Amino acid sequence: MTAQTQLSSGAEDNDTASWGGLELLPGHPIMWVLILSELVVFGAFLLTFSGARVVDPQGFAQDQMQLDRLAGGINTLVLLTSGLFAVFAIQAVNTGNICRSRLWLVLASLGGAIFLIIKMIEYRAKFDAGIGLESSTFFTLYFLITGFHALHVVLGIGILMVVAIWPSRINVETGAAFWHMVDMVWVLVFPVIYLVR
Amino acid sequence: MKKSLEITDVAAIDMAGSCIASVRTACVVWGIASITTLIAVILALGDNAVEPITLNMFATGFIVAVGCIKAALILRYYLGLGPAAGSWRAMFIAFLIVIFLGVLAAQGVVILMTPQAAS
Amino acid sequence: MKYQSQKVALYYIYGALALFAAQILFGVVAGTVYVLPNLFSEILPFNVIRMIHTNALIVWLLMGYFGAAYYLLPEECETEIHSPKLAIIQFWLFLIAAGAAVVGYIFGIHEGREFLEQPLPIKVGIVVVALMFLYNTTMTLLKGRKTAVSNVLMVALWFVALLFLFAFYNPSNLAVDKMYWWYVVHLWVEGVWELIMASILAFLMIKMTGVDREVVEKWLYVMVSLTLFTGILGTGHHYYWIGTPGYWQWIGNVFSTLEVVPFFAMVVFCFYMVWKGGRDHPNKSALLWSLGCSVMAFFGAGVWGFMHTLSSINYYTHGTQVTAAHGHLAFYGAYVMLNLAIFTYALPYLRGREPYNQQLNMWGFWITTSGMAFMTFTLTFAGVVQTHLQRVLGMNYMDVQDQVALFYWMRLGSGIAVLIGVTFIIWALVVPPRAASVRAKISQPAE
Ligand code: HEM
Ligand code: HEM
Ligand SMILES: [Fe+2]
Repeated sequence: MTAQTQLSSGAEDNDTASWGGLELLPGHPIMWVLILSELVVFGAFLLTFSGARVVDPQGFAQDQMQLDRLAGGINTLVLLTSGLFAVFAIQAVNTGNICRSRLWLVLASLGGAIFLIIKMIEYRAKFDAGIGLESSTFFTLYFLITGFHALHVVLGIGILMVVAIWPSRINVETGAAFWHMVDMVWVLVFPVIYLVR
Repeated sequence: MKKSLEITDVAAIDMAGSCIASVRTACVVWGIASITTLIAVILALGDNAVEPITLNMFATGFIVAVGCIKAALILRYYLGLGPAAGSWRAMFIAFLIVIFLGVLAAQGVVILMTPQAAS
Repeated sequence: MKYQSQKVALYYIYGALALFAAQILFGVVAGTVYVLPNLFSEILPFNVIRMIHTNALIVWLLMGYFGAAYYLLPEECETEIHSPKLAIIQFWLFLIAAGAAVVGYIFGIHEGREFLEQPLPIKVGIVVVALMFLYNTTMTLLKGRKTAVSNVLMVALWFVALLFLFAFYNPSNLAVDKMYWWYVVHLWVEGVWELIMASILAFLMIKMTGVDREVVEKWLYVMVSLTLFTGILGTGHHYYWIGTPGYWQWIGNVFSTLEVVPFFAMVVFCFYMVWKGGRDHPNKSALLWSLGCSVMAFFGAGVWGFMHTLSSINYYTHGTQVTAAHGHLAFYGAYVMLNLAIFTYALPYLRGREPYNQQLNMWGFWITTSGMAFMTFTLTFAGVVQTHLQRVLGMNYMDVQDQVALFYWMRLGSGIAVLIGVTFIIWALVVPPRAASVRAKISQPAE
């Protein structure tokens, strides 16, 4: 609401049709409602993770030793790069180059696919070591958080594909916004779950 | 609104005034984020501890801050959450600060609870 | 009223009000049996009384939604209902099915699964009724104007029917049974019914405040997103300690806590629209019900829901009077008040009168709402004491019930107040006042 009053004061009272400021951001405002909700959920999960760690520091430390930091790091690089491609896709559509925009979108989702493959390898190694969703609080949260995130990558690839089929400007911006949110969440998940110990 | 460096730098300013970084800025952002990630991974791989260790507040703060800054860069330049976003931008920044402080506070408690002080 | 076929809504509204009266009566009887346990034990056991109370509730709420849909779709779609005749047949079929279910219950024929006790043939009947309704309304939607309000309402009603199909599957393993049971119960009240609530409130706000449809629709989309985002995985708050895997606790804790947000958004929405658009609409009582609905839903569902939604708290409070307190205020605040809001709004148009008996209606609002609030408080106190004695100290269930008997008397008292308030409301809605026999049609306010 504060955004609304702030934005509408000064200008003519144009908030009758506004989204409280969200319409000033790239992409469709509803995507921003979703992004905000997603951040709240992932934020809550990360804080829950930190809180649960306080309850059982030793257990968490032991379990965390088994995580594959290299895979996590590579995946961070993969997503960052893929996010860069999504930015290129927007630039391309802005300059009217639909073909190139499509290409970048496909490359960005390819990055997502690589991320998922590495994630699968990581999960497989855990399962092979006899670690599952209910092994311990640490691993429950590890699988839930990274699993939720991986599902968002899957969804994101789907969105990028749809957007590549209909690459209007607003579509590309909306799809890319979702993709960047996924990227951004991972950038926070990685230090909190893999690195801090 | 004063013309800050980022504003002159952007290639795309749409009618509403939101801005997504130019190719060059985006590449710079990507470079910074990737290098810090690489360093983090190398540092993490470098230590061959068999016993779990507890990081001190400084190291923790550094790691989480780097993550949050990466997230802030993504927000600002990839997502295009520019000054036009008004108070929404403050919301997002506040979100990152909450994560940063929350994780740091938890680490503080963990350190206090661990018998041997942090290394 | 612009369209003749809107009149079929009258059947549904009157039917719903009749069942509402029955629901409250049986509630009061159940509350009496609680304090005088042997009262009807020979003729009508408590479980049957309770079943009639809760089933009448669900059926009249659904009937109210059907009526609301038949009333608002023509106005939204700017066309007549596809087949008013089918709508009337559907009404009678629904009423007969409900009546048959009640007779069956009295003779002890039921499936014993709370809220879904209807014997199989009745369930099939309900599906047939739903299909008739969906056919009729979808055809209406398809031939007319498509608005956000009508689209959201129709999508939600489709899912109400689809989710009901889970009621047909009743696995013998109790934990698995509960998983499916909640697919119906939770995904109804914290999912698609909430969408119905958002869309009907949006309709009422467009009509009564005169705020641009465009603005209202944006709010509607945000409320829909928030509801689905939190409500679907929020189901996890029912999978805490019932034999389901432990990860549900984390999912349930996070998502169901966030379920408060859409309810809060609805409060902000209603008050903001009224503040923005003004309160010039002649039907003051309909406006009161709409605003009251958003507020009481926020307290009943949001606040009282959150009270026991964290797994560590639910470990102790599960299935105590705390749950009953929440169930009552949430159902009343969200869905009873929603229906009464749209009834209060629509009836004057349907019957071509000035908004009549506003005073009586508003008295009914305050008495009933206060009664339900007081009932919620007494049950909450009873629940807290019960949780402490039974779940923490480990006292025997029946001994604890003796300890909280006083609260049950107070619940009965507030229940009688509710009965009086509901009498006022129904009287105000159904019986035309003597003085206001002016048959002047009130003008439709500009959209
Ligand atoms: C519009 C108002 C009402 C609504 C929406 C409503 C709703 C409900 C619901 C949802 C339940 C099931 C609760 C659960 O599963 O935990 C229930 C049970 C019950 N209701 Fe109501 N009710 C209303 C009015 C009343 C009134 C006026 C009374 C009278 C005192 C009453 C007495 C009871 C009793 C005794 C039970 C059984 C509780 C138990 O088994 O422990 N209700 N009602
Ligand atoms: C209008 C919306 C809502 C309605 C009508 C409603 C109604 C009910 C009812 C009737 C029950 C009892 C079911 C039974 O017989 O076991 C129940 C249980 C429950 N509700 Fe809600 N509810 C709503 C929203 C919410 C929200 C938003 C939350 C959380 C924030 C919530 C949290 C819970 C929990 C945790 C239980 C389980 C209680 C137990 O373990 O015994 N509810 N709800
Ligand atoms: Fe629920």
